[in-house]
Amino acid sequence: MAILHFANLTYSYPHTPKPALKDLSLSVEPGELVAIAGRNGSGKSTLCYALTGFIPHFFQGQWEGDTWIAGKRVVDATLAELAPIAGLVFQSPANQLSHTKPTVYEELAFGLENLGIEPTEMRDRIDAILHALDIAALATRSPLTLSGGEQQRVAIAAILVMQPRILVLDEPTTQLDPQGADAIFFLLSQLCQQGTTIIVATHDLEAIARYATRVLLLQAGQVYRDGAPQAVLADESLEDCGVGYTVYTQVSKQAQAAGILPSNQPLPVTLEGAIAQFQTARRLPKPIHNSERHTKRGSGETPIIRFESVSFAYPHQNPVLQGVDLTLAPGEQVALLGRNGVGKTTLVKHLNGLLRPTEGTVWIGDRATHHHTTAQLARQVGYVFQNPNDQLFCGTVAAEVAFGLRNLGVSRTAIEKRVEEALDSLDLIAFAEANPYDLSLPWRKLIACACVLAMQPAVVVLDEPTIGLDAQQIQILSTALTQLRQQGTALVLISHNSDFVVQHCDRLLLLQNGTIRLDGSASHVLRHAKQLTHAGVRLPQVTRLGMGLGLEAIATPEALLAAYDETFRKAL
Amino acid sequence: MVDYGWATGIFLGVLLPWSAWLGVLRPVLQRVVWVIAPLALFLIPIHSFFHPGTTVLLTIGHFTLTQEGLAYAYLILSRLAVLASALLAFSLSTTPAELATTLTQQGVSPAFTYLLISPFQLIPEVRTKAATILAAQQARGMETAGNLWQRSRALVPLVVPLVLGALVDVEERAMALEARAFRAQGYKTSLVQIPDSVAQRWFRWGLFGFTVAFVGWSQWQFFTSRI
Repeated sequence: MAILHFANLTYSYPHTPKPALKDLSLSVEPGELVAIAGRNGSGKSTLCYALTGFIPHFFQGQWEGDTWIAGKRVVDATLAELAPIAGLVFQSPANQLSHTKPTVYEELAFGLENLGIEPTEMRDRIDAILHALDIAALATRSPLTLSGGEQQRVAIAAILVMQPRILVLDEPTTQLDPQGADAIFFLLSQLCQQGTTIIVATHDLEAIARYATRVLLLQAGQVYRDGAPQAVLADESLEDCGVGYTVYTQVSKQAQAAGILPSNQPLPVTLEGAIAQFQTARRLPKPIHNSERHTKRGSGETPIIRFESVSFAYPHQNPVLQGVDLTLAPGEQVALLGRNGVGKTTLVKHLNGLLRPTEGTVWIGDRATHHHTTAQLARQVGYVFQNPNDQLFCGTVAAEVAFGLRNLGVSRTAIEKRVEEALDSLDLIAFAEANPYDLSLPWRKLIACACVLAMQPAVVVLDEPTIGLDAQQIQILSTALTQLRQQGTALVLISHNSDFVVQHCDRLLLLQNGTIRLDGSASHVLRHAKQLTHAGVRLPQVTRLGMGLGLEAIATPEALLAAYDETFRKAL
Repeated sequence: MVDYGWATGIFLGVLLPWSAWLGVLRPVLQRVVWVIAPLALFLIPIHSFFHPGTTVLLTIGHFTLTQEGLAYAYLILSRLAVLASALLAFSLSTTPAELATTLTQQGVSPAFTYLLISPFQLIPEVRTKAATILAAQQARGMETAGNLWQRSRALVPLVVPLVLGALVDVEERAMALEARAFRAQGYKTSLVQIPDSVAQRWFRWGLFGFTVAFVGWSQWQFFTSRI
């Protein structure tokens, strides 16, 4: 018998004429791991709320149809009755904490206390979950002092410890580094095998392909496709739904078009599937070194950024950076890699004087950051923060983008022109007169990018710009970054999305233990696959596919196909 | 006649040893000085010169400094010291979480204790958030240092995201509480048991009885002195 059953659910949020969910019918069996995919705004979060009873019990609005959770008719139950049955984990981890508990251990007890679980059982359950999520080291820490990734794991643990029969997660891994995200998905698949029903809304197609037993593809509040990952993630209409493909599918598609793979085969969605197809299409080539090597670096021009033996420590703490030497040439596109907490954000905060070295000097052009305010350095270094809510305050998107330009003293006519250009480059013209807070968080993120691009700095720093964006929005950002490259603007990128990184950056830096351990072109750095993986970096999908085919340090689909074809021809 | 020794006696004989026993003597003393010193700067001259009194200690022009005035300023300050040190010793030695657990164990509604406690927890968060917002706005070329005009211009870009962010958070936080069965009916348990011995209970009742008796006695003194 289905554990979740929806019959013709239609729901509209208050004061919005367009329904967020439209005539949606759905049955989920116990023990399924269902992934919800779809563009931002397609109804993924709303469906998560409906699956846990928050719609209609928490969110007001218009509601039609009927829903059952574990045999309980939702309208007849209360949220307090449904909470122990269907647990909900949502995106922002800090807001999921109780804010009343001094330690993680007690935080995990919060839900159990509310359910009246006896202390001995509480301790058993908490110990088990701390172990399962590998967060025992955090047990005595204050939840408020944890990093975003750590808080997210605690938030997931806080729901899991209540042992719900159904677990609904709305983009639960956005704050995690790749290893952390993998650990969560692995845990979910284990829970699923033990009988828990899991529903997870995510943009992580690779995780969906690997772990989900079923995918629901949403489009405008309706189920557009419903089936096995292999079928849905290779569906022709996926791009129309704003979802995109895994790199494995994309490369195979390109290979089919180029006649490298036979076109009558279903497209693979996983690494293993893609390797198998390439292997069976032609005999496996012998391992070769990729011919693409060091691309040109900092072409002898005066560097725009120079770190001279920079060390930094927060007061009364161990050093985060130790003797970092680094130069960045004008127009260079660089990515900083490394696991969460390794000091990537600390390093880039030195670029515009938000932090100043405890030892050494940071030069921006010919100016040492010691002697200038962040506002003065903003003309040369633009910094897009992770959370757009930390900066947006104007009544319209256009006014928001103009704010930085007014600070720089740009003339009124020039402001108008530059605002328009920046909005255009990020496909935001239609929202120019909208209030930023009427738009969803991913669009606000693009607005925050536009604010910085409009200032036309010589260096743009982006801190995790793709988190929460759907494939279409990532494409918009990609186009804007390509424009930046053409204009000769330098880019410093922090991102766990390594396929996005290699698409935009010629040079990769690996930060580990406070120093730069690897520095070179993408193809050079990707050669150190073991070291990168050890340092918490997930190799790009295309690199892993290359490695599976015996090709080393591949950074782009084009390079992969060229190297594959060349090797195959040589083998002939 | 007011007994000037009471407040000083309680401050030195009860509150300071109590703070020392709780391990917070140093921060309590520091903060009491921070609170009292600026007030003393005004209270002492005002009361010394303007409080009615007959024992003149010093005359400067038209102003006379009396012993009664000086004593009265001392009385006010010593009472403030008692109030401040008692509150400080309590707040520095009791975490909001411990207070919440204790109140819940004493039968106070969890919703009420949540409302009471959550603002305390918000303070460090708001401070961190404000620092991030300020950094983000500086990165967009906004000067936050300088003259009053420049600083006041920085206020709107700081406060608006702070307030809007808090409003956005409120909904999610309410959802988080629901998701963790905060409003579940029936028996609730507590992981941490705050020990509450019979002696402590008697002591609390004793304090309560003492306060009632003391207020009654002082009122009685007040009325009988008028008859």
